[in-house]
Amino acid sequence: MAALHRVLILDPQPIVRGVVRTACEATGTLTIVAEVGDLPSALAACVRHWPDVLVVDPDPPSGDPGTVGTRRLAAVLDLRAARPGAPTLVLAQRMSGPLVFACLRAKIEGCIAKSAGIRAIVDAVVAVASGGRAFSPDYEQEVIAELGRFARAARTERWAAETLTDRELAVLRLLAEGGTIRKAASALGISPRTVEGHVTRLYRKLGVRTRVEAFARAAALGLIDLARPDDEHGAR
Amino acid sequence: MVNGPDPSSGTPGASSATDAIGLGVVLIDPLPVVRAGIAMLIDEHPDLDVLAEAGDAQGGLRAVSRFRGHDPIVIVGLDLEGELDAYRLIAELRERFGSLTIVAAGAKSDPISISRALFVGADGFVDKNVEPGEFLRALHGAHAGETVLVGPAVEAVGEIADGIDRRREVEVRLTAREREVLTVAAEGLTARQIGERLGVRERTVTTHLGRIYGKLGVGTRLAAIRAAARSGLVSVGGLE
Repeated sequence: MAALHRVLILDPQPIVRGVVRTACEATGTLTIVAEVGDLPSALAACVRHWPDVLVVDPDPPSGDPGTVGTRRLAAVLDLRAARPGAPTLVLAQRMSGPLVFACLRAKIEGCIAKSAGIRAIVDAVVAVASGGRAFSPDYEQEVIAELGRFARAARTERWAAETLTDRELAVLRLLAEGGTIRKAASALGISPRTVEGHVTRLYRKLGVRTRVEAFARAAALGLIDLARPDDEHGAR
Repeated sequence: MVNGPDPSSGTPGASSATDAIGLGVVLIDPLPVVRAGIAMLIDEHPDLDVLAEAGDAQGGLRAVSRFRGHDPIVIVGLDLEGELDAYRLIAELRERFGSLTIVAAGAKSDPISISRALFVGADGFVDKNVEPGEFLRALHGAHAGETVLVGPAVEAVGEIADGIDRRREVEVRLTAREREVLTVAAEGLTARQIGERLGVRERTVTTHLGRIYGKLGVGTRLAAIRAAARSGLVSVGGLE
């Protein structure tokens, strides 16, 4: 008989844990050593039981449900740090291309939606437990689209680093936050005339003629975020 | 990405592009047999046309600038070598023609090549060994503005993204001149030879190299070249 893989399940919903436990144990190759509903208990269970496989909902109650991408994986990554080397399956309530992309970047072994059904979930646990990978083909196109966005953002950042000076970028961000030339000047400790000079060069480099066009272009390039004007200013 | 409207529409009799039924393809690949194979495949499909073929980058640039009004799909074979290799060609096409659809085609799905191609501006990568149907679907997808990745398993996406990230780091940290010095250094030249090539003094080259080491957090020239190779900035055989 094959060796039993010892599985930890972290999921806020008792009913999900129960169903996954029953289905896993029915395979005869998986045994559930810990079944917990929040991250602190999961970390404690890792130390006590040293599981071989982690099955984790990425959004346990302690997590911030609003975050996406890599930040959304914070709980998963904490757990992996507590039990290094254990294959992990992310079991998501809200599945998305960015989530799968973040899993692939973090070298996580699998990511599957709860809605895939218990049979697919158990197959995925078995796959990662035996050294394989488990990613739903349904999200492939979204993941590739995410890769495309990632590549374009990297290219833009390179272009901006090469083309715009730090000062120009700072002026652009201050103005995009609703600041005036005068405010930008005092924030940067330079004269308004100098700020105007930066603005002129910014327009030329961005290939625009008005401030509205400049903001639209800069937002399209990902240099500023018009949706959240008060976020991360001065972050670079 | 949004493709602009057909520039020829609304201008009566302006161009034959309005009469063409399908999408136009410009094929740039060093191997005649590969071009012939892809052309044959495309010719079988009434909705795709080969507008031009080129065996080198210069010919490719000429063909694209001639047919740019047709909003073509440009297929670039990644084994195009020389001064203007496939990656430099893609960067050049992206810079000159903006929203052009560019698909990189490679004989093997190696993550570093794919990340290099995507970083410099390709809309996607297609392995030359895939089924014809998949190849054609990828062309349509890319033209519709999708990122396409046909050949490698989706699991490779993590590694491809890591390659792009390393490249971004190196590009953002180093100045254009420093990148140039590092690229020449990767050919195995001495500081004096690098200086001769770039028309600067040996002393200036050593200063650049010192800054590069600092920025990349390495202590030796070999380590710097290895970091550049891992990022895809330079291609160095046998260092990976």
